[in-house]
Amino acid sequence: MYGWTGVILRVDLSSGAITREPTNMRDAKLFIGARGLAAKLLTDEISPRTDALSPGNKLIFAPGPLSGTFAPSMGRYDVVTKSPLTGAIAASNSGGTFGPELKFAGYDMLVIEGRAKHPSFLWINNEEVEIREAGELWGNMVPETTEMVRALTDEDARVACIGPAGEKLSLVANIMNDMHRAAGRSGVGAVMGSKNLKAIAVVGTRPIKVANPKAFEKFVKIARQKISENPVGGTGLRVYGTNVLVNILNQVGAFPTRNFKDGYFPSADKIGGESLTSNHLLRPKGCFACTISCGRVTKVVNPKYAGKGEGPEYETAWGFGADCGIDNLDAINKANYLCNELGLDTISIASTIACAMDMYTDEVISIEDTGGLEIRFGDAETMVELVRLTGLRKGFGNQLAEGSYRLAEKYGHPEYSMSVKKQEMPAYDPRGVQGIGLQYATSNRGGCHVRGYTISPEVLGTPFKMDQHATEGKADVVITFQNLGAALDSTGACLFTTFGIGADELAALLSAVTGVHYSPADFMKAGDRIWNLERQWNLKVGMTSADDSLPTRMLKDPIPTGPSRGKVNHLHEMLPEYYKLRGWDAEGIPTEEKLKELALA
Amino acid sequence: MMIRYFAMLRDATHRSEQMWDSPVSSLGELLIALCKSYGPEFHKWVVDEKGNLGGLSIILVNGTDYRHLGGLDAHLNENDVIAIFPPVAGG
Repeated sequence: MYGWTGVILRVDLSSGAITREPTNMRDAKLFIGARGLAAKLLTDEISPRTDALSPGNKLIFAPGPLSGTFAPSMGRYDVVTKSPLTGAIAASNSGGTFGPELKFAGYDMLVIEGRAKHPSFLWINNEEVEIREAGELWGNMVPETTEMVRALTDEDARVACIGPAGEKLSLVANIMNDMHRAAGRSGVGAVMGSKNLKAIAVVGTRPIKVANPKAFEKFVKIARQKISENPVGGTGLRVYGTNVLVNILNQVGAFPTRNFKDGYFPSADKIGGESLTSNHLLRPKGCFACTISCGRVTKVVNPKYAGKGEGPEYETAWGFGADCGIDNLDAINKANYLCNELGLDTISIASTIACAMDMYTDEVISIEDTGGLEIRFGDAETMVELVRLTGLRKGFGNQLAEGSYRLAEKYGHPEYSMSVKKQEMPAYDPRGVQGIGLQYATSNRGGCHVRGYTISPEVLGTPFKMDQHATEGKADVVITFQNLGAALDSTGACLFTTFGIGADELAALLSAVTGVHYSPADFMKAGDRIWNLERQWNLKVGMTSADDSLPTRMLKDPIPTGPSRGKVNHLHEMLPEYYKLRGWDAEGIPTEEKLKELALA
Repeated sequence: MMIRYFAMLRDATHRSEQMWDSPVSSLGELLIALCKSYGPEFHKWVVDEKGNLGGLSIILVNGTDYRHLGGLDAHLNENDVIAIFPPVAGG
C-alpha cells in the first residue's frame, strides 16, 4: 500500500468497541483521501436526517495520501461530520502535525461513533488504542488539556482536543490541534463535545510508503522550487502572514465593516499585517513539512490585553477588527488567544458579536437582553469579554454560542446574520467582489472563502486578473476553484501551495506517492466528484436552491463608502450559469448524466 | 497625487505614503520614476523576471486595479490616490 495506509480505525464510544478495517481502495482512488474520502464514508453511513449532536452522527479525522510525506506544505487533515451549525456536511481543515501523526500511526481515517457514557479521551499509540476516562481534563482550556493529555500519555504525543466551548456544545466551537491550529468551521467542536470526547492523543512511528520514490523526489523538488520562487509563497506569506490582506481588501473597497454595513474601514492599517509584524510578531511558524510559514507567533505586552499565542490570521483580524468597528490590534490578538484557548471558531464568533452589535445599535436587542452589557461597535473591551462569555456559555454568551443566525432569528430579525446556510461569511465583501459572492452562495458548507478562493484572480491577480466588479466569466472560475480546492484538500495539501503550484504538480505528486496515475484532468474530475457528492448529500438533508443565496443586505444595500461605493452583489445574474456549467438542472440538482459521468450514479 | 505603499514596499521606501508633485503622464512613467528614486529594493517588487514593469505588483488607482484602466498607460491626475502592493496574498 502506497500513500494510503489501507487501514481505517473505528472507535465506538457507546460500546467501547475498537476495530480496524481495510480502506475501500475503489473509493480511495475516486475520492483521494481526507475531505473526499471521509465525505464518501460519512454519506454512505449516516442518514442525512441524523441529528448532528446525537450519537448517530460520526466524527471523522482524515489525513490525505500526501499528509506525512516530505512534499512541501502538505501535512493537513480534515474533520468531516454533519455540521450542527448548518445541517450540511462539514469538512474542517487544519494544519500542524496531528494529521501526519495519524498517518504515522497507520490510519487513513479515524472514525468516531456513538457517545461515551462519561467524559473520555482517546489514546492512539500505533496499533494500541485505548478509550480512557477524561477525569480532570474536562473543563480545561485547550493549552492545559494538551499538556495534561501529554502527561498522561506520551510527552511527544500530538493532541487534538476541544475547549470549554466544545464541551458546552457551542455551535461555533472548533477542534484545536497542536494547541494553536484549528479545524475551525461549522461547529465540529460541538460534535466532539456531544460524544463526550475531550481529546485524542496520537503517537505514530510507522513510515509512509511511496510507490515511486525517484519520481516523488523529483516532483517534490519541483514543487518546493516553484513555491519558493513565487513571491507570495516564497516571501510574502512568511514575512507578513495572511493578515497582509487587510490593506489590500480595504483599498479595493471590499473589506466588510461593522457587520457588513460598509465595505471600507478608514483605520484598517492599524490592524493589518504590517502593524502586526511591527508590533506583535515574535516569529513566523510553519506546519508539518511547510516551506511557507504563514503562521504567526505573537505577543501582546499591553497589560489590558496581555498574552502570547498564535495568530491572528487575516480573517480573525478582520472579524474582531473592522467587522466589530475595532482598530485595536492588542484587543484583536487577545480575542484570538481566547478563541484558541476556549476552542471557538474566530470567524463565526467574531461575526456573531458583530451581529449583536448591529442589533443593539438598531435597538433590536436591548440591555435587558444582553445581561446588562452595552454592546456597541468599536468597544474593544466588551468584544473581548463577549468572546470569554461565549466560550463558557455564560450570560449573553449563552446566546452568542448558537451563532449569528440563531441569535438574530430569536429576536425575529434573521436578516442581521451575515451568513450563508447559517454559517458566517468571512472577510471579503461580496458586493465589492462579485465571484466570491457566488462562491459563498454555492459553498457546500455555507459562508466560506477557502471552498473556492476566487479572490486570487478577482483581486490579487493570480494566476490571472479578472475585474472584481464584473459578473461575466465568474461562474466558470468559481467552479474551477471549487473543484481544485476539493481535490487539493483531499490530498492533504495546504491551499497556499497554489501560490506556486497547481493541478499539474499536485497530480504528479499524488501519482508518484500512490502509484495510481492521476492526470491533471483526473485530479480536477476527482474534485468535481467530491463537490457533487457533498452537494447531493446537502440536497438530501433538505437544502434547495433557495439556500444558494446571500444575506439580503448583500443583494439590496449598496456599499455606502470607499472604492466600491454603490455596489451590490448580482448573484442572480451568475447563479443560473453556475448551475448550467455544473451540469445541474435549473433547481441546482445534479442531472443523472452528470452523476454517471462522475461515477456517482 | 498621493502614493501609498504597503508590506515590503514600506521597507523599500521607509514610508507608508507620500505626496508626489512632479508631473507624470502615466502610471508607467510614475513607476519608472519610483524605481529610480528607491533603487533595487523597490525595483524587485514591481518588475517581474521578464522585465515587465508592474508585472508582479497589485497597483490601484483610486481603488481600481490599473489593469482595468488601460494598464501602464493609465493616465494619472493630481488628485489620484495610488496604492502599490508587492505580490502578497493570504486567505
